[in-house]
Amino acid sequence: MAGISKISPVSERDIHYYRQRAKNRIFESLTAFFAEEAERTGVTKRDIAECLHRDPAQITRWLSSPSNLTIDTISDLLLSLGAEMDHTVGKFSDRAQSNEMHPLIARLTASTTPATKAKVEYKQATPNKPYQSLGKMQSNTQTVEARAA
Amino acid sequence: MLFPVIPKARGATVRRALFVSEELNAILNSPEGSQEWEQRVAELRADLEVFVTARTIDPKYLFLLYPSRDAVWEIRSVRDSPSIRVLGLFAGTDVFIATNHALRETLGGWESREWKIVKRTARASWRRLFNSYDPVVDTDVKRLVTGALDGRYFKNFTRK
Repeated sequence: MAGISKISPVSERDIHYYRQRAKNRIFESLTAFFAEEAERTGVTKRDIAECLHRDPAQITRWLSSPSNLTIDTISDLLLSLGAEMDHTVGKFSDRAQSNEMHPLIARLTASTTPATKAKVEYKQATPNKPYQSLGKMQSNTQTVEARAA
Repeated sequence: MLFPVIPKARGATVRRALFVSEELNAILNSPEGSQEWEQRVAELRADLEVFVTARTIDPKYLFLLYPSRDAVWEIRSVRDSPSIRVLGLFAGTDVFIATNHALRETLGGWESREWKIVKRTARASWRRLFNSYDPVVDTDVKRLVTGALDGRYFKNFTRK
């Protein structure tokens, strides 16, 4: 049995997708925290730049795109705001489907009520399910005519 | 035909609805290609899912294009190679219809002919899809997207 891996291979696309997702999620947490702090205390990018002995343009660059962040810069930015990140690791298999869903998507994925939602198995392949319009409605006259015929 | 973007990651919350055109859907679900292609497609997907899943939306992520009366917005997927702009219009609050996309490097300056063409394509695609149903015209992103962050926090305004 030696040489047989205990974990299945991951596609190149999934590797890059989860890398980018991780960056986007961290960036979201960071920008949301910065916006909250700015509203609460009035702190600006210039203040952060002074605190970190950096050029304000550097702070602008860091906060302009998830791709510009590194673990070091995240730590620096949060430190300047008197904070640090807390980390948790979650296995996909332990994650439940979220209870919150946009009503339109819930309707399309046929899981409108919380009770139904709980029963519906999580579908990963739903991006392929197309949205189809209801088509042109018949007028009342046409319906009556069709019945009469 | 439109296709909803459903997050690939298990347990992700679908906070907003994003529908993509057939063309964009074909890219997102394209067969395996070169490593560069796989990387860019995966990053684009992750970037589009930000609209669907993120609690807050950064002001540099979603932009209303000029003229605002046309109601054409862009989602920015910013990279060195290449940056992609996904154009679309709002059918309602938190419901974005991505009609077309373009590589940023091909668009030139904001008043270029290429920009005008992609914006016109977005409006034409909307009309083809929805006919007489108008997109939501609003310059305030907060009224269109729940959790949209105020852009002023990211500018260097002085402390009050």
